[in-house]
Amino acid sequence: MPEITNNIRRLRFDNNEMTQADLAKAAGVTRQTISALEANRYSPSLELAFKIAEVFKVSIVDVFNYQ
Amino acid sequence: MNFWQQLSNKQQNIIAELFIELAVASYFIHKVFGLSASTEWVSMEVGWIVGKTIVFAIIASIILMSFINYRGEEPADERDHRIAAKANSVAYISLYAGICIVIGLISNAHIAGDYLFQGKGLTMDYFHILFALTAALVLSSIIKSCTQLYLYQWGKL
Repeated sequence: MPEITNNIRRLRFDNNEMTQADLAKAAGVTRQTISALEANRYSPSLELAFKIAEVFKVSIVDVFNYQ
Repeated sequence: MNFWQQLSNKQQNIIAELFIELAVASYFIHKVFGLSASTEWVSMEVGWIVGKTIVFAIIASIILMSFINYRGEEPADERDHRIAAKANSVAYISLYAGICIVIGLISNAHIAGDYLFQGKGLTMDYFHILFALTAALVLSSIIKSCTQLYLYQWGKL
């Protein structure tokens, strides 16, 4: 069954080693949600996915993969 | 960062809620089943136990919640809402099952009385029914909190 994976951890490090807390604040969620996303334990809503992509200034497909 | 600090404000609140529920349920069950056999079920003693349990629950809630939320409660995000929704549906199923069991117990009071009270053949009076319904409510609430904690820590949503 296909799964949603993401590159959030790599993107954080590429963006001046942004912390989970900083990303959480920018995306308007809790740090634990970012942690769950990175561990692939949570599939975000489309809205949150776009917000995270916007924080990193990349396209949504550069952050999330469906495979 | 210790374990408690790693938890979100929501998780801390749920743990506190669960702790209060378990403490109150244990206290109530311990006191009610500790009553002497001659004690009437519907009596002043039971009234005092219920009163003390409510006061204990209120005081414990005020102390724990003010300790956890002294910086203000964190607003819930979409994952919190999704976890709450899933936990609510699990709690609903358990409450539904609990109510079905109580209805079954009422309709088979003699058989159930024999089974639950070691052949004493107790029939269910109003207090027993009330106690069984309260137990179903408290159990479903405990199941809800446990489901939430599980989903926060290990759940895949």
